[in-house]
Order: sequence, then structure tokens, then C-alpha cells
Amino acid sequence: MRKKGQFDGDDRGVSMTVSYILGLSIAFLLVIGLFLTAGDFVTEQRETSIRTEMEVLGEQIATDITLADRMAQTTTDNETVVVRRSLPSRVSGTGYTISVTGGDDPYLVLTSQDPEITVEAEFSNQTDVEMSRLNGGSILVNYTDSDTLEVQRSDR
Amino acid sequence: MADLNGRRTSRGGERAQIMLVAAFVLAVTFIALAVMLNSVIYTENLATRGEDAHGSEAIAYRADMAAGTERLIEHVNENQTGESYDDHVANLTTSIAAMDNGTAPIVATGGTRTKVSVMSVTRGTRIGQFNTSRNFTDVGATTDWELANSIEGTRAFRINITDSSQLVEEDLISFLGGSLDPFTVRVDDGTDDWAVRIYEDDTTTDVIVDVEGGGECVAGSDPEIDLTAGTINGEPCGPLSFGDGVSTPYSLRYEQADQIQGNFSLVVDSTSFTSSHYSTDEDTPFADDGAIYAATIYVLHESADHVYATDAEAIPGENDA
Repeated sequence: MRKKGQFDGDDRGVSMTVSYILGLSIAFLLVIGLFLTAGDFVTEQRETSIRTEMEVLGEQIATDITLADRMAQTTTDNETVVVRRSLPSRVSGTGYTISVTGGDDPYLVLTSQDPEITVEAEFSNQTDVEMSRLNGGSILVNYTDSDTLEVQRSDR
Repeated sequence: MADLNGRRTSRGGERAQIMLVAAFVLAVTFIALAVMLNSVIYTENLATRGEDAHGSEAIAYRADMAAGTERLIEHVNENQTGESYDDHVANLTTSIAAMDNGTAPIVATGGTRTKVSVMSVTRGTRIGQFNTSRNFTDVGATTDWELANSIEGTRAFRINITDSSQLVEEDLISFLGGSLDPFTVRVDDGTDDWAVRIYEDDTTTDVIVDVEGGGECVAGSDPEIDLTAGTINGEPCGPLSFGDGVSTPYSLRYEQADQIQGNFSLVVDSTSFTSSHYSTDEDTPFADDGAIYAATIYVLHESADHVYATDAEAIPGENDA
């Protein structure tokens, strides 16, 4: 039986240099692994959150266009139809643009700047909707003098 | 493996700096995730904030105000006979202002501003007879007579039959092999015409409302027929589509008006009629050309998230003739 404390401080068979290199390498590997994994994870989560946010915003704008369309359909003369909505100017720390595109069958496209993610939102309309593109933030849907709907920037 | 176990020497202790950096990275990662999670929660909170900008309320408000104005027009026409057209218009304007003052403070509590006002009023003629035991002949007992001409529209045309036995029975009718013509309402624009004949079933007391070339509806005895709404006793009658195929302006006439008994009333968008057919007594046919046919109102419904304004037509019991 070994006596207690018999090998305390026994460095034999292990070089101090090897010991250091081994220790540092394992620690670096762990840290680099952590860096890469955490970085990817955060980036991935950020993209997911940007996409989720823009999907929600897109649906809200689509709802507003549909509502303005429904209201415009019930007007005759001396008409004014404006639907306002306050939206955040940035999603998960990046700016974004809102555009109405698609010609005769319009739909919404929301695009974030960095990272560039694109989300589409469909809506049904009877009133013509003008093609437009604007930066994110508060918007309004306006029934114009030429009897079309236009998504515009809101001052409020 | 002595050194890897972390020997308590000053040099061995320096390796903990790497662990410190790793811990720092982890901390930053968690903060970034927390910030993003917060952002997602905020957006999901946005998503659950009400479906729209209360636009449905605006549309409903417009419909309510138009319906209210229709009731006011009917009230002014029916309860203020004898007054001039200008008086009727003034009364309507005052009543609509009162309706506005009544509703605006209620909706204002919900943060909405509303306004309703009269834009224009269309003059018409209210024609009727309220004697339940008289036939539909004119004051001079003429059986075929013209109620009005140059008509741009007819509304609230109601015939209430009080004694179906006064109608011609089906087996006696000329176009069904007999020799008599039934009571007929005819709409005529000079080129096309539309007519509805009213007669009684020859075996029962049922009343038949027969649209010329369009089909018929059968009702029980003493029905109330709304020609412009296309209903009999409030039930829809498919073939009864007043003035179908006739363009405006048109004339409206009764034929064989002695073959029916009851009362009737209607409002026409015209002030052109032969006054000798009428008297001022409501027990015989009367015509009040100071009546209001329709009104156009301006409706505004505004809140922080929407503005809705439009003109709206109020035509009580309107038809598309």
C-alpha cells in the first residue's frame, strides 16, 4: 500500500512544456468551439426572430390594406379613407423595407437589410393598389384621388 | 497529469484566464439571446393587438346613419303632411343634427370622432290612400288612371288588401279564358313595360300576385304586398321585381282599380302627376309633392388609427327601377 503523500509533487515522466501545451490546447479548443457554436446559434436565432417579426408586420400591413379596401368599397362621393399603423422602424436591430409589388395581383414584400431576409405577405383586394417601396416605420394606407390604395409613410 | 489538475503555482493559475474569456463569451451570448427574445416577444405582442383599425365600426356607423336617416325621412313624410317641401327639408336637417348630437358623445368616449350632415335632398311625391273599405279608383272613380309620370324611382310601394273577395276570381280572368281583367299595376317607359296582376284563387280565398311574363306568388287572404321590396306579408316573392326591364323615366298606372279593396302608399321620385286624380283627403287617393324621396348624407368616422368619410344615400324602401 502506498504511503499517503508518497507521490505528491511527483513530476516524473511529464515534461512541463508538454503539460502546458496540452492544457492550453484543450482550453483553446473548448473556447473556440464555444465561440463558433454560440456565434452560429446567435446568428441563427437572430435570423429566425427577424423572419418572425417581419411575418407579423407583413400580416398587419396586409390586414390594413384589406381593411382600407373594404372601406373604400363602401364609399361614394366626398370620400376619405386612411388607415394608420404604428410599426417599429427596426426589427432585431436591423432596418427593413416594405414594398408592394406584383402588378395586377399585388403582394407585400418585406426585406431586412443585414442580414438580408425576405418575407412575403398576400392580401386580397378589389381596389387597385399602387406599387410602392418605403422604409420600415409607421405607415398609412391611403385611398388616393385616382381611386387606388397606396401604402405611404406616416408622419405620426 | 499533475499540471493539468491545476497545481497551485502562480504559472498554473494563469490558465484560468482562458476560462474567464470563455465565461465572458457565454455571458455575451446569453445577453444577445435575451435581447432577441425580448424583440420577438414585443413583435408577438404587436401581433395580438386587435385585428384591425376599427374599420368595421366605421362601415357599420355609415350603415346605421343611412338607416337612421331613412327612418327620419319616412317620419317627416308621414307625420308632417301639409307642410311645405322646405319645411320638410328643414325638419329632416334638424332631426339628423339631433341624431348626430346623440351619437357623437357616445362614440367619443371610445376615442372616435363622428359627424353626419345633410348634403342634398331629393324631392318626391308621396301618394296613398288610407281608407280600408275603398277601391283604388281615383277621386273621380276612374278605374284606369296614371298615378304619376316622369318617375326616376319608386320606393315603399305597399298595397294592403283588406277584402280579398273584391278581387277577380281566377276562372273569370280574360287571359285565363274568362271575360274580366284583374287589378293591374303597370310600369311603362314608353318602350318596355312591367305589370303585376292581383286576383283571387277560384277555389280558395288565396290571393295570387302574378307578374306578367315572370311567374306568380300565392298568399293567404288579405295580404300586405310590398311591390318595391318584393315581399308578400314580409315573405320574399321571387318574381316580384318591381319595374324589371323598364328604364327611367317611367309612368305608373292602375288598371281595373275597382277590382281591389284596401289601402296603398308609395313615394315616387317625380313631382309630375295629374292633380285631378287626387284630393287632400287621405281617405281617397292623395298626392303630396312636398315629400322627400331621398337624401344624401355626409358621414365621418375618425380615430387615431383611421379616417373614414363618404357620402351615403338614404332611400327608404329603395328599388333599382
